[in-house]
Amino acid sequence: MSRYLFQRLIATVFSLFAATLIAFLASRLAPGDPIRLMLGDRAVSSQVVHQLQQQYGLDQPILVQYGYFVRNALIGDFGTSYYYTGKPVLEVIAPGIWVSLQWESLSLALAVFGALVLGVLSALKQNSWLDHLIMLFALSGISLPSFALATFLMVIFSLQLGLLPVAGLDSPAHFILPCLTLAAQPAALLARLLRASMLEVINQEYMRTARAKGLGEMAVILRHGLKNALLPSLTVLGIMVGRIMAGSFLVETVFSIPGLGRIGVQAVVERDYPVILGITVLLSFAFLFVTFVVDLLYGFLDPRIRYA
Amino acid sequence: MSSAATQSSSSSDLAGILDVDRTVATRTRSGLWGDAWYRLRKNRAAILSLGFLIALVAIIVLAPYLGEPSPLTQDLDHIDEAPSAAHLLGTDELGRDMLSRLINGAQVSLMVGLTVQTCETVIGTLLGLIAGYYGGVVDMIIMRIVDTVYAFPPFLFAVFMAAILPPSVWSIILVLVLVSWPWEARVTRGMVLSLKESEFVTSARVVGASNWRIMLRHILPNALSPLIVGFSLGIAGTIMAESGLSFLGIGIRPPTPSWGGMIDQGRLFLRVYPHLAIFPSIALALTVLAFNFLGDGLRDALDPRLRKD
Repeated sequence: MSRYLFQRLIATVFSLFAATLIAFLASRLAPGDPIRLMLGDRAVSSQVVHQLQQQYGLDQPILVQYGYFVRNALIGDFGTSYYYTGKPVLEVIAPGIWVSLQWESLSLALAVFGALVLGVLSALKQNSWLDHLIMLFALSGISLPSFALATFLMVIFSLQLGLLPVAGLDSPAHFILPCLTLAAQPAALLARLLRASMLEVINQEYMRTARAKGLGEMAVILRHGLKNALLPSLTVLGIMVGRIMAGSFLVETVFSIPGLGRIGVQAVVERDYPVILGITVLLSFAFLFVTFVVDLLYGFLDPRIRYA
Repeated sequence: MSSAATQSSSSSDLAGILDVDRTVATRTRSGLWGDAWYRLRKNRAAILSLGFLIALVAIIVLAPYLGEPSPLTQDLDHIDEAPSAAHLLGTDELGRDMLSRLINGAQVSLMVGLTVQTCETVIGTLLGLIAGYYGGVVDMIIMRIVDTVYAFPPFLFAVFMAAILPPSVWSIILVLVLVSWPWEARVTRGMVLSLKESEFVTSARVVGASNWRIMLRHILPNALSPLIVGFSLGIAGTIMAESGLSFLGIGIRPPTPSWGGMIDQGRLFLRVYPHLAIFPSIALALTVLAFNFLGDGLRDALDPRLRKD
């Protein structure tokens, strides 16, 4: 296990470095001189510009600059925002982190729960109208872009029926529409996979054994069926988290939720490259961390993986 | 492919010798693709989707001859109108005809979807072939690059790149190819790894076939099924990503109509004129759904082992 853990750790650290390097290089390729962007409309002599370039290390070779960036990022310093002149990037994005973490984990929980119910139900009732309905629902869930779904939900529940609030995250009721929207796609993805793996498990001999020894149907399905069917689904958990993170850019924009995604979109609109870079690095770090944990869990639960 | 052909011709010879009713044998003579088409035809959702997509392309091609107003012509006397005889789907906030904007948006979406998917399939498949076939250092380098792209949550990388590149359709195409080719590379590499140990590859090598010939003529045709399925599903994903970027204002920029951009614009008038956002949402959802249904159908048709039932 420790060898496997070590391998995964090395791979993750490599990915993180490669990802930050690419993000860093790309942000430096962006049009516009960073100092000019930082100064905004203020007229400054070229001497001052040169001084600032030295101060920020912008006169150094690009790989040295990357080195500075990594060193500073490790202590939480992602530079200063261009748009909110002089404000540290971390201060700009910090308020969004908690907001996003809160409602996105709620969405993930909703997605997993929904997928469990739908996937198992549809496998148990294979080829019935319920199964077809759930799978049609799932494929629609995969096909409906979150911002389109959000539009439909908003028109129906907020504007026509007046049941739910339109924007913000001020009360529990505010969470309903955004969470539903964000959960739909990952839930549909997982439900389809769960159905397939449940169908594989359902006819196994140990299921018949469990029934034969007199276990209740519920116990057979949950303890012997679902438990074994869950393993392949674990791998998509990482993908689901990735989708939720990326989807939050769209859904937070639709519902005016002051999270990381909305801050990111705003930074994109304002060409605030340090903030864009900071959010990208932060989110890929979180994403790689989740992938790493999922890999470890998988190796822990399935010995075939870690000895392969 | 060739083995399937010999098999079917010998079975028809047999049918001749035994004087069996030949109509029964016709289907077995059709080969891999004929069989797949036969199975696909029985999938109602997939065929309906195929019909929808063909109709969509026909509408796009015929649009200039239908006498619809141009999607860019503003008519400030008739803004935000509900559907009527003059404007079948109404007009937007600048009095532009919604139907022709939707059709134009379809053209943009399909063009981006097809271009991106073709490019990424070619690039990803070639790199996957090379990585899987040669192995060693080449494989390691290619797969490390693949891992790097996978280190970003999908779509986030696209947002990041789209924010940096100059705004144009070609930037969007480039961005979407950049983030999506690793999928094809991974799938192809996996197929190659198992296929290159097979007897027909060894025998091709024994006869003296070059590496490229083996890769392109012997391995690739056997790895096509997942790539074809991926092509259809990939277009769905690409159209979603493109419309997402356009929705955020960093994809296709106005005045060029795009579904994502139209939904974004329509959102501002959701309370009073919901049709401005709802029509493009429906168009987008139906198109993506059609490509997904077609992809699912193709998977079942091309690989009967993966059939759901």
